[in-house]
Amino acid sequence: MKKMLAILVVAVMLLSVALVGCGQEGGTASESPAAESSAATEASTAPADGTSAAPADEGGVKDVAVLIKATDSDFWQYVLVGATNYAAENPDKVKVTTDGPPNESDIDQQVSILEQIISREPDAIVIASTSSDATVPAIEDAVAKGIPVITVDNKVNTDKVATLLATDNLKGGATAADTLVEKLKAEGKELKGKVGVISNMAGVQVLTDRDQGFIDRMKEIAPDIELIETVYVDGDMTKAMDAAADQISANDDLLGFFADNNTVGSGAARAITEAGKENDLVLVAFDSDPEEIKGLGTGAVDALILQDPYGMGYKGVEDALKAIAGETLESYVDTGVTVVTKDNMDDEEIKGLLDPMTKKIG
Amino acid sequence: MNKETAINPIEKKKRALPGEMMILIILIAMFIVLSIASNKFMTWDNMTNLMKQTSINGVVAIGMTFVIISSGIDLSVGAIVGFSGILASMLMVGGWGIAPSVLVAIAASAGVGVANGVLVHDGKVPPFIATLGTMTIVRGVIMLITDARMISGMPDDFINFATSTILGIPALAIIWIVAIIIAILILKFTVFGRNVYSIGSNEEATRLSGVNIRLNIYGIYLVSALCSAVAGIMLASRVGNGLPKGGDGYELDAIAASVVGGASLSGGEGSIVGTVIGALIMQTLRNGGNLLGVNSFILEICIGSLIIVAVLIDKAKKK
Repeated sequence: MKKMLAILVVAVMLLSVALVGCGQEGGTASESPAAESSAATEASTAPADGTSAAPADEGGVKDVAVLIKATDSDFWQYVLVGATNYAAENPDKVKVTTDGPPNESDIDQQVSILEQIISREPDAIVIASTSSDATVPAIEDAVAKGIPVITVDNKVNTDKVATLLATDNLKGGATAADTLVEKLKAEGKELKGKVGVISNMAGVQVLTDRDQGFIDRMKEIAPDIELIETVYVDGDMTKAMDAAADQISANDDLLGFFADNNTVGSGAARAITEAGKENDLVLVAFDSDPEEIKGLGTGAVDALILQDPYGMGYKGVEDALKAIAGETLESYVDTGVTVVTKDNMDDEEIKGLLDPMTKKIG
Repeated sequence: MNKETAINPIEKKKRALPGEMMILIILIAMFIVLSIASNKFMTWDNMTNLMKQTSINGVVAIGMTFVIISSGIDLSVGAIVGFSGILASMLMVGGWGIAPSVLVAIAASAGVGVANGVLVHDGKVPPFIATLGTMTIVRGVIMLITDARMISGMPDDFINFATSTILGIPALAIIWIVAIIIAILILKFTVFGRNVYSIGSNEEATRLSGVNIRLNIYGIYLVSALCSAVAGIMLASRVGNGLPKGGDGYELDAIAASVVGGASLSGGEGSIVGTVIGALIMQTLRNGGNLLGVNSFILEICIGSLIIVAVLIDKAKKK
């Protein structure tokens, strides 16, 4: 009896997965090719998997290990697309393996994965390190063993790394402030009133930099605009919606919002849409996802500040090859931000930035 | 109480109203203070906002209350919220109609609830661990089927549901109210409802009195999963997308709402009315904090303190 029940339960769960498969065939499949999911699974389940793969010595094909912060977000998947695309374009030069912990809060796990990667001795490592300190000993160990390390997205506190490819988030935040103020001016609004700042999470360096960059520049260029106390939403889109909706109903003189990533950007966009204030409020948000892109179309979102995760992955692998060849790289390269508005969102180049998945090869 | 409750005499104490009165007073006090502090608080606009904001956690918390009364815990509710939302949105984007998508999502989530029940009753796995396991599995399944990407492109009719109102009351709040009424009726007037309390007070005695514990435990975790599944659909409609991380951490909000509302983690105590007030108190604090522009970190400290104070008052009352 108990066995029967256990089997039944497993069957129900499997059935539900199968059903999703059916539904997916109809439409979303185009966005998520199977190859992609296998990359993600490989990354999350088998960090040590490279040990079983054939070492890439023959024919000068270099083995580059790419380690991202988390497998559970679009942004990091974009980094992987960039990295694997470079390998797909240069199959005679490089083979890329990808790894990452399931969640950005798994700092310990990222360190263990890094240690496992080092023990299988790849030719180079590209890492987006979640912590600026936790990975330092392992990185220094790798460099001591002659494995060059390329850092992307986040600075690591050691001078042993070959290079850092990252967005200057302070500058990105300032660009957001410039964009918001320009938009207000273009609408003929007086630079007087309130602006809300909605942050995805407290205590994350890149977000803190964006907010700080935004706040500092706003004080400089629009001193009469009062910035409402920053709201942090723990990565929860509904909380971002709630916060934006509350601020909309509380402040008659609200001019708009700054949202420091796509989750809060989408939340604020939904709240603006719900309130029917697409034309009254200005929203400038970081990063992109389908909801934000939709918002650009309807006017709920006025501008997106896009980083270049695809470029980080692509250039990261490219730089890894240079480092293996013994070239000296610049210690820091700002991968830059691009301001996307309704006017340029349909440009080919911008489309690739809005959804790097469209650039995926194979 | 009539003779049907005689199987468990201890039960007479727990539905006593004073506990709920205390937290109702706290809620009313908060309303008074906030209306004085902000002229925007007591507006119809803000009240509908507050109802919408509370409704999703409110529905999850109702299911959680069943589990907590039975002296269990269900950590998988947040994952089920995410699962049901993702499943429904994927099916809809895949061309299924709204109704079949929603039904399949709820049915699949019910499967997770039954799995919890089987693990807890037949596997003798402590509820904390069993539901921690299913939570992790379900989150993994979500990531696997979505590649961690947001699902977009659902029909407008579905998305607009969350913003629609019936007689001025948000549709989301109506679902919550219906769930509240059904839950109160089940707990007060059905044999299953009475069994939930008696299992929580003394499972062994309940078993000896001839109650089928297995079916009741399955039922309890099923109710919790069904509530979370409905909340997941509400969430998908509200945010207009299927979110892979949707419902993340909602288990803690639901537990907090139940406990603030007078439910005891050692079982046998708790009420739906209390949980509703508990959920409202927590969301009112967040809403008020946003209206007044209170520092986010201070607000978190207030919410945490409130959870402790509410339980302390409740304990003091019972002495």
